Amino acid sequence: MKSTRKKSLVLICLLLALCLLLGCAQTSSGPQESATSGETQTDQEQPDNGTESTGKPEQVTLEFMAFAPETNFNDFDKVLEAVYEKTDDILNIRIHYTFTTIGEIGQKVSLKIASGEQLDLCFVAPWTNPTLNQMVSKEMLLNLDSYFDSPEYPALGKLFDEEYLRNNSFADASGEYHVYAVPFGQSFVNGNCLYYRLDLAKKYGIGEIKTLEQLTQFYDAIVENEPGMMPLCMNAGETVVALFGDVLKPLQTENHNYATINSVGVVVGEDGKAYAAKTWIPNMDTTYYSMLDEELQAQDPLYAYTVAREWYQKGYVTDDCLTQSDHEGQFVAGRAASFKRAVDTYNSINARLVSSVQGAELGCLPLEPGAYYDTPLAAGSDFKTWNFAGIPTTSEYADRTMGFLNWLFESKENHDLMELGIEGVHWEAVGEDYYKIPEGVDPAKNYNFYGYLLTWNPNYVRYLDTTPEFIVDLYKKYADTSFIYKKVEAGFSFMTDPVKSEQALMNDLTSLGTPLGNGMVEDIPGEIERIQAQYDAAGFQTIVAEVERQFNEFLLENPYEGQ
Amino acid sequence: MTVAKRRIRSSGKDTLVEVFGTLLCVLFALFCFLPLWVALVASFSNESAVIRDGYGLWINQWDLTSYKLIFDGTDTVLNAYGVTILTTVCGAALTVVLTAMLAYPITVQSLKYRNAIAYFAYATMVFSGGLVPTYIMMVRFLHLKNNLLVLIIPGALNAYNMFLMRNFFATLPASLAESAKIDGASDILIFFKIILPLSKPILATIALFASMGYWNEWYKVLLYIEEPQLYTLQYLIMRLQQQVDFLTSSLNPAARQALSFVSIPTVGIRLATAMISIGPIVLLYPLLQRYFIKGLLIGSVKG
Repeated sequence: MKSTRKKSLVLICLLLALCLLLGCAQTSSGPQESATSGETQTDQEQPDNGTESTGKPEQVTLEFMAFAPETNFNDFDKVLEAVYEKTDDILNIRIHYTFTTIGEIGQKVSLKIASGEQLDLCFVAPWTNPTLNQMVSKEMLLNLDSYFDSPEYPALGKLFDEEYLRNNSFADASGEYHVYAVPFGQSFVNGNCLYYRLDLAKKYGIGEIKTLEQLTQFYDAIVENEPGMMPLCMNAGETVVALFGDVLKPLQTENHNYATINSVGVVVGEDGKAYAAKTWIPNMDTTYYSMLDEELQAQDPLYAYTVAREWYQKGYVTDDCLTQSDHEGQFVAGRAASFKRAVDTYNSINARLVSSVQGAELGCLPLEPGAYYDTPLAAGSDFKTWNFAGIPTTSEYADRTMGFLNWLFESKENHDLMELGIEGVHWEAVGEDYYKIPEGVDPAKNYNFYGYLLTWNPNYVRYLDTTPEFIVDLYKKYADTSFIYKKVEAGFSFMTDPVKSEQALMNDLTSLGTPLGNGMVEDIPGEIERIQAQYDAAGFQTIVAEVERQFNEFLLENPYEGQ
Repeated sequence: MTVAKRRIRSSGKDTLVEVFGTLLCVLFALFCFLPLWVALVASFSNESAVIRDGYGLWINQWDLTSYKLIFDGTDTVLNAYGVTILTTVCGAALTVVLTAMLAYPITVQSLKYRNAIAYFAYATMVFSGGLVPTYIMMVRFLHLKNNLLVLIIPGALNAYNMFLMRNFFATLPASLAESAKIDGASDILIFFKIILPLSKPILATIALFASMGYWNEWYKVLLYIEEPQLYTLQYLIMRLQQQVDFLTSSLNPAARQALSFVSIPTVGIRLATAMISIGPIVLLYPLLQRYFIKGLLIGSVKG
């Protein structure tokens, strides 16, 4: 009996060893096969006739990855089917879109690329973790220069002009700038606005607010007559100085030779060379200040901070601005009289406010200098978008993916199909520039794809027809390149690798200036010195020197043109 | 001769200490319960009322909107419930069986390389391959992507649990197994018929630990699962919470600018989802509590 037991044990061990070997043998065929064959999301019948007579390319399934608030967008599969119907003869692709969370998109994309899984288009951005810059320096993204300059992809070259692409190029490890991802944006300026309660402004005799003087009158009225309501509600991290700094400057100058790069103030002198301010508030560095335009030099360098202090003392800014996390929620619930957000959220804020507070009206005061002063070339932009899509270097279907993007940007119909949904079902056109939701469609269940994942472009924008005209005006101004001046740092991307450790220490100190910026500190000069000491201890001067060095190198190729 | 039973009279001081101690425990329990209660109340209240009047102990305006929104339309939540329950039950059962089968042989004196095996297990507690190699192994070599098994198998065997069990098995007298062997029982028979029935406390403890782990699993879903049908409950909540954190985080002003028009999920939905996911655990826990306590006391009293 013992010998049979021993024999059976030996047999089992041999079997296990065999299984191990079998497992190893299967890896070569692995992922590519399973990905392309098994993963068609929609139930399309496979075209059996294949590629022989029609000349159309072989069908492939492309893997795209982006993020979404829920597992999928409403009716997304229906829209994709409509896309396939239109493109089967020319493109013959199937798209499998995977959606993950906003916080993890960077991590998941890098994992997929590192493990060699099929990934043909992925969302990348300068704000994901890892950032676009880091992914480029690790050679994870394909160089897309050739696609924007080729007769095979005419729409790409037309819609993405050279200037737009140049400002959205990134430097690789050797310092050369190339297009590594397709930029998606509708306007070039944030379009920050102060949303306020227009009904309350009318009630206290101020009417529509167009200037800061009227705004302070409004806040005074709120403080006096509406106890318990916050005049200005800001989220933790926002400061009066940052929000109103640009419009608190009573003067707008013609030359904008200054910039803020990586929180360091930089100014370009007459000799074309850059100087980086050694103080954390650039205006306090006398050399920096002396290189600015004369009109600016006549002002008090701390003008914004003194105003912030006044506002805090008058009660416009409340103490809980340091811990607030949902300023919009407070506003629509009727607990705040104003807050800042970008102009493109007008419609949704209006809808929330009107349904929540009886008789409320939404007012909007633009905080961009160009719109505020209504002068062109007063608002600057580096023409960089914040959202991109890149093609990993491991992708086998780069051509097919770019072909799809080419089709997408070929005409407004194609573009609107992907961005807004099926015409007649999810939206109806109103003229060339507007659209509306069809009767009887529940907005909560309607197609809600995020345009900035794949489709945004300044040339193809449609506005909801309920948007007031002055808001559409603002949108158009912010997308108009002749209204905006090109910032001196347009096209430059700072490489943090040489100062990685100092940058990491500095990242922990970002909230130091918040109480000061909100006017909560009595002793302004003392506080500034204290913060400067802490910044210096974290290695601020090393970062300043590095910014100056890199920017000067950039200026050699892209000199300041006096804009 | 009968001995009269004497009642031990407790002195006044003892009663005082008892009352005081009980009061302290009750207060502590209430403090722990309070946030949960407030969250429950808020999840059943009207959203604007909560923002306007703050959180309270009683419902101001009864409103089922948050719950309706969650269960409406897609059956994502119900599906996630099913997946979570399935993985928890199967996972806990698998964990108990596998861990016991690894832990017991290590305690048997006659197994030749038992110390080496224990050492290998210990090494996994100290070293790990890292995220990318693990991901590559799961996806490329084991083909576990988008597969329910990835939520059950990798988390089943755990060196820590194994050592807990080993310590328990070591307290069982070796003479039990020896005498069974003399009578002609095989190793498998000894394990299933003699050792396991005596180990109920540790098995229940490990089952409980494992169930908690499986119920709260979201990281593996994040990494390996892309089909919405396979999402777990905690992943849904985590997704919602991450969305909110990312959008309101002050460390990401650039992201907030970029995503400036995405609306933030409301307070009500978040609380309702949280209530739904902890509901079963809170209701089940009192039933399993006595096993938990027994398990904690394992090995504390010898003999």
